[in-house]
Order: sequence, then structure tokens, then C-alpha cells
Amino acid sequence: MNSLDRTKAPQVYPITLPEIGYFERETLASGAKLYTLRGGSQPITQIIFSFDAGRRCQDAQTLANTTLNMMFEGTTTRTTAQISTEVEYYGADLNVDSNMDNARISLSAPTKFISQALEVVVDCLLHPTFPQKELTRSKDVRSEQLKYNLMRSEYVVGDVMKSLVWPEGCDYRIPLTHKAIHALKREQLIEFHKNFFTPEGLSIFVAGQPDEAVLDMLRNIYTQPTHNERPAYIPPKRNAPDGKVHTKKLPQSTQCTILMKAEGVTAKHPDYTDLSILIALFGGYFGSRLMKNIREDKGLTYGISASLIYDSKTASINVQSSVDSERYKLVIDEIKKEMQRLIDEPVSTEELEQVKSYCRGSVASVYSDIFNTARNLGGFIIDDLSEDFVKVQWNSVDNITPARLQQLATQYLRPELFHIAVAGNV
Amino acid sequence: MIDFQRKKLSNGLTVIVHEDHSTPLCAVNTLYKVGSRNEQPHLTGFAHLFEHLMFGGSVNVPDFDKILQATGGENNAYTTADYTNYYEVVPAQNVETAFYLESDRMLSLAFTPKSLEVQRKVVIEEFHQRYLNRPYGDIGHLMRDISYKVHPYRWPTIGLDVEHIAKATMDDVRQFFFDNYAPDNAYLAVAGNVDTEKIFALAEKWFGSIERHAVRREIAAEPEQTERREMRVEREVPSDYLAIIWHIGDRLSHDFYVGDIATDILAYGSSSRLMQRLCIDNNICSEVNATVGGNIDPGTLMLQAVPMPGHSLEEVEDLLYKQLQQLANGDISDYEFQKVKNNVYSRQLFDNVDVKNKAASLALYEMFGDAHMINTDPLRLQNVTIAEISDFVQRTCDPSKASVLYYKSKQ
Repeated sequence: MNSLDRTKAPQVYPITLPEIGYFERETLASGAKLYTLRGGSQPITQIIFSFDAGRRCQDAQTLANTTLNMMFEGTTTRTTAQISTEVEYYGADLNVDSNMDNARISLSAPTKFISQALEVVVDCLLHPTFPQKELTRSKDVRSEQLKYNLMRSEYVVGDVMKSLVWPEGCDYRIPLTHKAIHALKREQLIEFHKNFFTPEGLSIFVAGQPDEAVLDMLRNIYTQPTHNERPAYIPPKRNAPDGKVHTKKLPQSTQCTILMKAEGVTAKHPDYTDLSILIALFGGYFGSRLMKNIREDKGLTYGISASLIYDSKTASINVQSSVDSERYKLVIDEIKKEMQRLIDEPVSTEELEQVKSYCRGSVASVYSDIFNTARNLGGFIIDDLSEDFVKVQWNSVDNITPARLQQLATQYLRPELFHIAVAGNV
Repeated sequence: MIDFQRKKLSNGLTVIVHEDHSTPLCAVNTLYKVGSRNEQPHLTGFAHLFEHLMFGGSVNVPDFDKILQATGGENNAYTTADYTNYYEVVPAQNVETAFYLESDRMLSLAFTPKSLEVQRKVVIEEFHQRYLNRPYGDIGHLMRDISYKVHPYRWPTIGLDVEHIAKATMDDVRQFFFDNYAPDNAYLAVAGNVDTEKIFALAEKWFGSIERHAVRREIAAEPEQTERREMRVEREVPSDYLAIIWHIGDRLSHDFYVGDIATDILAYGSSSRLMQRLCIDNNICSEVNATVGGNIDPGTLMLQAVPMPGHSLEEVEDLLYKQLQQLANGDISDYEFQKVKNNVYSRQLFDNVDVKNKAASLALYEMFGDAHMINTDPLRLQNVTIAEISDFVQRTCDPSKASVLYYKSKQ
């Protein structure tokens, strides 16, 4: 006991890529794909439907998301109360969300109840009625949420940024308004559902401990293929940054939120995995440059982060932080200095090894349980990547060098590439 | 069923191990029984500030995060009224590094002036970001202020005032550490792909020589509330907001379990009563909620609602009382009751998927008296009866003894 030397940390063993199971794959008669990953320590089954019905299919603001939500507010045989009561009776957790490309419905329940809960969800997928009363209420609630968001600097700064990035006349630059929320008509939802909640492009991911009965139900939701084309997704060319700081005053704020945005690359781009490592080193984890300098050294913020986000056609590098209103210019200067440092100076071996460990740990943690594993592998499939994409990520971490990081910083992190928006008490 | 082994070291540290070989990871959770409940009225927010300082270097480890990140692990911490919780999730082969790091900061912090200076600023920015710079951000302060008059639960963990954090001194820091960050005030739970005996040996190796020194101080009890309290404020927010609060028992009291089921009936999920009657059927509110606080000392039951435009706070308050009256009358169908019980069952399953959750729950339950509660708590909830709910609501939810916050929009 007395010989314990606390000045020496224990030996750190190499982090290895966990053994990862693969989905069992089936292509169904309807053309939909069914992916099953069995395992887990608890008697739970998770089902995720991913429809090709994201925002890129909509011709009115919020139409995709409102349609998705309203599908669970009434069917030809069930009221909204009956739907929620039945789903919750079976101890099920039902969540929906949508992004630019996809609409996702996630159902998790104890395996002994999953078939009954799924029956309700299938009814909602196939026979929604979009009751006018529920639509009116949904729009009222959404309008209340918008009022709240318009008082938050973290939300408003996003609206400012849209107007900087996207050109005049482009839908992407238009902020959500109360008028747009209330303009949606029930008929638009019916049409959107009919056109886009269809089996082409549908992927169903099952994880946990499903029984055969539930898999048979999933195989038979849609029996015939449909041939509904999606509108072409051709994003407009982005505006070039003008180097200025664009501000929006929110008098009631005590802070302001900074958002900087430059063009990134999607996961299919050859630079993606290496650039992800650079963004992690720059501002993606607690030991990153931005966190060390701006939070841990100078105490200028509670949090600051950089991220690389993408959909199927567009990608951005974002830097965001909320700071004291008197100090936002100082923080922007420091962020730019950190970008320039990555361009001018090679990363030290020590720092590189640290970020490699972080990246390996992040990848390993994704495979900590069956449900996280299925979500991650499913994400690869949705993004049209190999199910082995994790190995590409792992190899990238193994092989990245200071010179490569410097080259990527020069290409993607030059301060002049970033639009800058600030909202708050400026 | 979560199996675990438990051992108490001679210095008072309780160590709990749960083996889960379905994951490559391991979670190490160190819980100290110190929160804002242990603060003085002139130095509030201190337990939370201290949580930040715990990452500012310890006696042999100048940079906690750097060493942890080298293992491929992640870590974080959070502070509540009753406790402060630190965790690391690491690849299981590197679990000893978490023991090294946690034991060193339990042994002693480095107490550098720079760490205190920086973290004071960071916490003040957090105070702004999470409380002052957002609509409704002061609701937590007001609700505690109206419902507690004596007990430290009357302030939130972030503190009463930014100034309390700004004026914290190094002497305050040292005293707080010595009083609270000791093995006899801590619970260490490990869950993941580990061997129990090896974990016990690591605990003995790294924590066994740290001396016990926790100081326990009396905490003033909150007197029974015998009157109705009202607070009316106006703020620049988009909608009105209502909160109604009653005192209930502590986390181990039977009333906590009955209150937990009662509030599930009222507001758990879209099919719950308040959601159906106030939001969905009649579009009177945009949001409703009902919660019980399970605390070391007696906590609260709270109803919250955000009325839609055209509906007053008083109208919504009356509707909430009517809903409570139905519970008091025992007006609960078998189907509705079974629905709530089914959700207790499924939440237990969902909570037990993740090793981080399991380690945190084991440590927390042990703090409350017995880690076996991770398995027995759901059974206690399952055994609550409709008659008990009726009796509980009649005894507890008396409008003449409620604390009511009327939070009006200026718009």
C-alpha cells in the first residue's frame, strides 16, 4: 500500500475497434429494405422506419415535419387519444423526427408488447386522416414555440445565418414565420403523405430481441411497390462570405450567441473522415483548441464547439458559442486565431495522439449497446455508405498526420471562408 | 434484474460492481453526498462551482482531461440539490486510469488560483446562458423561493446570485473540499465489462489509503406549510406560465412512490390526463407537466402549465384542481392504471441498457440507503394502489396550502 506511486498514471492499453455485428438484410416485395440486428441484455425491441420524405420533398415550410407528426393524430379507426393511449399502454416509446433527406419514426417497447404497439403505428402509417381539429391545435402550439424561440439568441442567430449563406430568392434563407405555420392546409398533408410515405426509399431497422411475429408484420406493411418520384435535390450555390460580423439585436438578452459557418463536405467526400478529426481537434471535444483557449484558459464562455454537419448534398462547418455581450468581438478574434494557428503550425505529436484517442473512444462508444450500434450502422446505410464505414473512420484515425491536418486546415478553416452572425444584446 | 457486489472499505468508501459483458466499455461513477443542500445562504452555487474546480487539477494530476482522453474515455459531472456526481466511461481495459484520476482528486485538489479565477468566470457565463439569457430562465429560482422558507432547497444549484460565485475565495474552496470530498461521503459504482474482484482490488489500491474526514452539519428542517402562498411576477416572455407546488415526503417515504404514480397518471405521455384534457381536447394549454422531487429531505409535487392565448392562469389553475379532485375521488380506471404500471416496467428496462445509467443508479440508490433499490424500486411503484393515490391527493393537494406562481407575460 505504501509503495503506491501516484505520480505515475497506470498503463494505457490500446483502444481496439469493437467486434461489430452486421444487419441481416432483406429486400421486401414492396421494395422496402428490412435490416435486423439481434442481441442486447434487456428484452426490448427497437424499430426505426426511415422514409425518403424529408424537407427536400416539401414545397411549403414545415410541410414534411408537420405531415410526419400529424400521422399519429388520427386514423380511419383511431382518434388521437386512442393512438397515444394504446401506444403508451404497451409501455412503448414513440418518437418522430425529420431532416433534409428523411423522416424517421422510432418505436421501442418491451418485446412482449412490441407487436401490439407496432400494430398501432402501422395503422398510422397507412391510414392517417389528418383531422382538421388536431392540425389547428398543432399549428397553434407550433406558433407558441416559435414565439419562444424568437426570444432566444441561440435560435435567432440561425435565422441570421440563413440569410447570409443562401442567395436571394432561395427557400432555404426564409426564416420560419407564424404566417407560414398557419398557411398549411390539411390537403397538403394528405398529398405529401400519399406521395412520399411510400415504400421506395424506405428502410426499416430492427434491433434488440424481436420475435418472428413482429418481423412478419414488418415484412407485410406494404405489399406492392410504388413509383413516386422525389423532386430533384439541387441546392443553390452559397453566397461568398463578406468578412463582416452581421448582428441582430435582442434587447432582453444578457448574452449574445456567435455562429460562424463555412462550407464542409458530406460523408461521401474523400476528405470527410480526416476533416472530422481536424474539427474534433479544433472544437469537437473538451480537450479541443477552442475549449482549452476560450473556456479553460480565458473563462470567456460556458461552452464553445465546432462541428461538421451534412445532409446528402450540403455540408457545413459550424462554430457556436454564447458569450458576454461585451466580449463577442474578442471571442471571434480568438476563434480566428485558432483557425490560423492550425493553418500556420503543425500539430504536435502529443496533441495528435490525444485527439486520436478521443476519436477512437468516440467510435468505440457508439458500439456500446445493441441500440446505439443499430442506429449508427443504420445511419451509414441511410447515408449510402458502406456498413463497414467505421473501418474507414478507424483507418483515418490511424493514418492521419500533422501535415494532412495542416493541409485540411488550409483548405477548410481559413477565417475568410466563414460567414459570421451574432444575435443578442449587441 | 441487475446483479451486483458491494464492499465497504475501512475508510468508509462504498464500492459497488455490476458486471455487464455485453459491452466493451466500463462506467466508473463517483457520487459525493454534497449538493446545494449543503451550502450556506451567503455562498450559494458553491457545490456546483466546486464541481467545475474538480477538473482544474489535483495534487498529482495537473490535467485531468488529458489523461482521461488518452484512454479513449469520456467524462463529465453534474450537481443536484443533494449530491454531485462524476463519471468516466472508458474502454474496459483502461478502467484503472479512472481509479487513478478519481482517487487523486479525492485525495486533494491542486487549489491553483488560476483554476478558481477561470471557473468562476465559466460558471457565471453558465448562469447567464442557462438562466438569465433565456425566457422563463428564472422560474426555478422563483418556485424554490416561494415553496421553501428555511431549508437550502430554497435556492437552485446554480445559486441565488451571480455575486455569490464571483466572491468565492480560495479559503472557501479548501474548507468545502475538506468537509465534503472524503471517502466516507462518497459512493463508487462500476458497471461494465469488468471482473468484480479486480475492481475491488483496484478500489483498495487507489482509494484505500485516503483518510476519512467528512464533516456533517445540521441542515435546518423546513417547517410544515400551513398557508397558501402566491407570487405574481411579470416578465418579457411570450406566454403566461403557472406553477402549483405542494410539499411531500422524502425520497424513501411511501408518499414519494404514490406521488410518482399520481403524477404519471396526470402528465406522463400524450395520453395522460392533463395532456388530453387541457392540451388535446380543448386547446387550453400548450404545455403541461406534473412531477415529484425525490430528495434526501422532504421534496415537492409540482404542476406546471402554459396557457394558450385567451386562457387565464386562474382558469387553468381551477382546471388543474378539478383534475386533482378526480384523483382524490379515486376516479381511475383499471386500464389507465395498468398503462401507468406498464410504463414503470418499460422504463426500468430502458434505464438498464446503458452502463453509465446503471452505474449512476447504483451509486445513487446506495446514497439513499441501499443499491438493491435498483431492483426493488420498480416493484414498490407497481404495488401502489388506487386507494393510496386517492388518500395521497386528498392529504397533499390542498389549494389552501399550495404555493402558486403566476408568471405573466408583459406582451
